[in-house]
Amino acid sequence: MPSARRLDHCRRPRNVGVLTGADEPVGRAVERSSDCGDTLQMHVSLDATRAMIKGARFKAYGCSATIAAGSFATEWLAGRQVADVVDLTEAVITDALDLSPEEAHAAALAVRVVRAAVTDGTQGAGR
Amino acid sequence: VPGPIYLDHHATTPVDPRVLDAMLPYFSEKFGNASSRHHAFGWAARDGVEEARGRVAGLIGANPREIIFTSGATEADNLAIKGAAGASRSARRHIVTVVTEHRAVLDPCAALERNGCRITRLPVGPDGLVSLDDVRSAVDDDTLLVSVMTANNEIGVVQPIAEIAAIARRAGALFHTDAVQAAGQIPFDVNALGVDLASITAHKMYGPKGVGALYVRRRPRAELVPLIDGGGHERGLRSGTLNVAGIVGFGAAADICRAGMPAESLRLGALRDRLNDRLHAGLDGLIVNGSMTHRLPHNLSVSFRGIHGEALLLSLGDIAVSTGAACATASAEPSHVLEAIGLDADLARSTIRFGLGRGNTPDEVDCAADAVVGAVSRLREMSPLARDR
Repeated sequence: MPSARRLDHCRRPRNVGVLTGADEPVGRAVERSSDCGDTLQMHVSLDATRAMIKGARFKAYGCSATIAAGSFATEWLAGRQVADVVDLTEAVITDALDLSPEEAHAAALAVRVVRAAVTDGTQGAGR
Repeated sequence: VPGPIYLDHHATTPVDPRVLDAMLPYFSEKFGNASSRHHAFGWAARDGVEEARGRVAGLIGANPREIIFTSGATEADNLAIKGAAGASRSARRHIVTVVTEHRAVLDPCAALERNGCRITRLPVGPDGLVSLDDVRSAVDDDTLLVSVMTANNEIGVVQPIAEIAAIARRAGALFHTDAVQAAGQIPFDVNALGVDLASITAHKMYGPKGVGALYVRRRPRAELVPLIDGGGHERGLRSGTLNVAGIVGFGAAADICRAGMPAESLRLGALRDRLNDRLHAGLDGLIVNGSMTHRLPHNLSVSFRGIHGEALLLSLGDIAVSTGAACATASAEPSHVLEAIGLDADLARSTIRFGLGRGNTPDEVDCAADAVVGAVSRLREMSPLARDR
């Protein structure tokens, strides 16, 4: 049975949407699982120094684990230092949402898309 | 609508209270072993079993002596397929089946294939129906068995059983059908259809889990060897102390289904159409899988393009339906049935199976349809793959 936290993120996903980047630097990324086709899109907004993550928005196509992982990641990211993003690992997401080993692909996908979006933002490409 | 709504009757059905009432004495005062022939406890158990055997036989137009009780339909399928292949008088080594069969048929066939049998797995069309020409072309003088399910457990498609059985008989082969989803739901008569072997189970017809039956034709006799030896129960075809309470429940369930079938079939067909109409009114990009003409009245299999069925299921909360894909694995293998009718992996993963049943009401169907429309809309809205989003 899925954990209550995972169900909550699936049924009431947080921070769904996109960031336009009109007022602040934004990093964007889309990652797709080659195994199952699950896809996560992540937008992160950065402060002017591009050292801190102000917030994140996500979109997802996939199973409940993928939606929950994306939703969880957006909450985790808000207010974090860019340097701390490496702390968001598969294990952190898997433990938080109580994902089974078969669902670890969702956590891996979330980690990949978060890192790609932050890299996009900090390298100055994102706007 | 208060409480959870159960729309997964192809997976299992609740035990009818009348069935439970019939079963309960066989756990207490009538606890005897049906094989105990020399005292009243055994006689009472045996009477219960034989009355149930008659009721189960009556549901499918069989003689009671043609009913072999098993632990369920998987065992019945195995007994039919492996039992026919192993029958001593059978020198034939070829079996014809269909790609959309239940694993309880496909896996025994695969096991026989590993031991030297030749297996032909026929395709189905986009409507889920097997072609009679394909069946005719597949059978030959080496064919010992043709096994085609009556109604599919995912898409509800009802195969032309009488015609296929006739082809098998002309070829000198036995004909087996997994009738688990059909028996008790739609008319199913072994003589009208010309079936030699048929698997049925109690828990799909408001009976208990753990009890099923194989119909084995006596005239002409369908020769089988048993899978389980030890005591010679069930005419030597299925040894082991009988599950008396379960069998009594099976009989009661069969009787109730038989009596209510015409009206219930119409009622469920109307409910299914109501569900289908309401989904189509609320959503675009819907695909109904399988023939709507040759179909169980209580089945609806729908693909919702652009979403993942498992996410939809968990989004629905108190509504119990089923996905069309064995999900939650890294590879997320889509259903072999949906693949067989031509759905790509993404579409197969977007599929939901509704199985309506005895307790469902129009209000429940409306509530479920509205919940599905809302959840699909929300999931599509949040998909990065959706156009213009």
